[in-house]
Amino acid sequence: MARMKFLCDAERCIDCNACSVACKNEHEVPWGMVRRRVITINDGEQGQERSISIACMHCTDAPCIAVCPVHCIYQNDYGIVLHDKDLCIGCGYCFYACPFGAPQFPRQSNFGSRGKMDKCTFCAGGPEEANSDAERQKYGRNRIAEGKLPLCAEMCSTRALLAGDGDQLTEIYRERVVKRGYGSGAWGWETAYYGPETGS
Amino acid sequence: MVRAIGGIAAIVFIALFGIVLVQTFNARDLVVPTNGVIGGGAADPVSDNAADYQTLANRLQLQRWRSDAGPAPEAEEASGAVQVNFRADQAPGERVASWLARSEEHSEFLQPRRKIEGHTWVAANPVVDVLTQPQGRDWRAFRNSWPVYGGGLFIFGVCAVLGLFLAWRGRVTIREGESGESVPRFGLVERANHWMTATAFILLALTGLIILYGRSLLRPLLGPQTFGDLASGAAWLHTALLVPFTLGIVIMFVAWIRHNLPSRLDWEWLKRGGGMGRDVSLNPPARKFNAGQKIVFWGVIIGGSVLVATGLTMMFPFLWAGYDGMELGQSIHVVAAILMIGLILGHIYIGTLGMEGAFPAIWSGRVDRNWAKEHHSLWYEDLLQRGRIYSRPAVED
Repeated sequence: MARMKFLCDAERCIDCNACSVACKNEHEVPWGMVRRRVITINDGEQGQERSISIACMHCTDAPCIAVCPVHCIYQNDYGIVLHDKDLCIGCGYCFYACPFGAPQFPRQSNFGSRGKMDKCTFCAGGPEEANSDAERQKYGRNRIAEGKLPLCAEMCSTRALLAGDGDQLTEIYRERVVKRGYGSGAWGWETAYYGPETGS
Repeated sequence: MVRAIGGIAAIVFIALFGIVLVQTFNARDLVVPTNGVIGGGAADPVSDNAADYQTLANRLQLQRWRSDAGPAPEAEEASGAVQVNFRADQAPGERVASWLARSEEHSEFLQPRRKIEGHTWVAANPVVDVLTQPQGRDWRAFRNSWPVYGGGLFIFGVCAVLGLFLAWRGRVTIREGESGESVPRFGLVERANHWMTATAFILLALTGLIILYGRSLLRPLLGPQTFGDLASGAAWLHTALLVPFTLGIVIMFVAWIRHNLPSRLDWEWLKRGGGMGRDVSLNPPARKFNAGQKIVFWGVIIGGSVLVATGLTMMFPFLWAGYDGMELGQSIHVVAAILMIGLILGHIYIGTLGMEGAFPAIWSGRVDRNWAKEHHSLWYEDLLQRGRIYSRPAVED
């Protein structure tokens, strides 16, 4: 059913890190924090090396929302996971729960005061009015409100990183796999979107 | 009178226990879309924006495969228009169900859940080298179930047991009555340290409970912003109290360890239930600390050390622990804290309401002579022998 997702085609990602840089620039993410990063696995192993761009995957039944002690994180009907920095206490629980290491903190450690959590917003800002100064300062630009998809995906030079409706993503990815005859799959999807029910 | 209070308290706590028990079995910890912080102004009402969703869907078509040559300018453009099925009228639960329902369709390219580590160039922090750590979901499942509901059941259960005990046994009195004469029991440093640790622990427990239960119990009453400020203060205070608490248990350990080494007497004391039962005519003999007090002592020392160690782990995230360490640390911290709250509830009960003559020991530092004789007979005799106090010649009953 209609829902926003990220998909990184590991056969196309060339570890250029343009997505990370574009994200940092677009949202003016402070020094030391990266909302999106490219991770290379099996570095140097012939035929096994893959680079995957990863950020918040905007999980179904998102664990960060479930464990937040102040309930400042929420999901919208598009499946995008957002948060309210005014409420965040910087406890770091979302970071322990996040399967993708998405939440970032201004300070790594300062006797528990780590500042407000920051993470990928799927370029959808935060609870403030879309593209208001307040929203821009806290969360960066709101491209979704402008009818645009996340910048990292839209400017990916190899179109490895895709962002948008999940059904379309799988359709596009399938098309590619059929044409070229191989594909290592949608990294993190099982964990992000179909993780087993975690209800107690 | 006291026993009636105990009975009423027991009924209240049993009722609370029952409520938590019902909650435990009805608990459903599924996150559904809310389009804004719950309790806050709905700030992202995207549910009625089916048209916007269509715009975004059409835009994604620009990313499609155009030709074997890739996205060349002369290649055929993707059609652009696509029909997406975005239903604005879906209930949040239905929406999540529909998201979860597609796993079979995508099974061909889903990879099994596993931890994957690699390397990234964009940040120096080694933590970000982790691509996926699905055990975060397992930690969430644990964090939101066992400590939360188990903790409620345990704390209310302990309170109910204490209430029932008070109703059944009444206040433990000094059998011979107060003598009016006191003997020294705890020195100034011991008492000051006890109260420093106690104050720190109570505040730690309250602030910790705010972090654990505030979201479900206080937040609906206070609203998101007020509760956010409270939780922020609680988190800060919880951290700052590390210092007096750690200092307290260290001093306590040094000051009282020699009285708290286990001995054969303790086994005897425990077998006789510490003389707490109604029909027990005599308290089992004990030195300065009886087996019950030794349990509290070791509970505080061991529990406190575990709490300090795991707390420090959380204070310096990822310094010496990885993801697993942080998750395990938090889990141990919350379980140890809840067990220790139960232990301290029992300790507070027997030190104040439950037993006549016990409280002055740690307040003024002096206890009644008859209390000392009844509860700590060997310690009392020792005091006499060492000439620290003198026996009363005349009065015998």
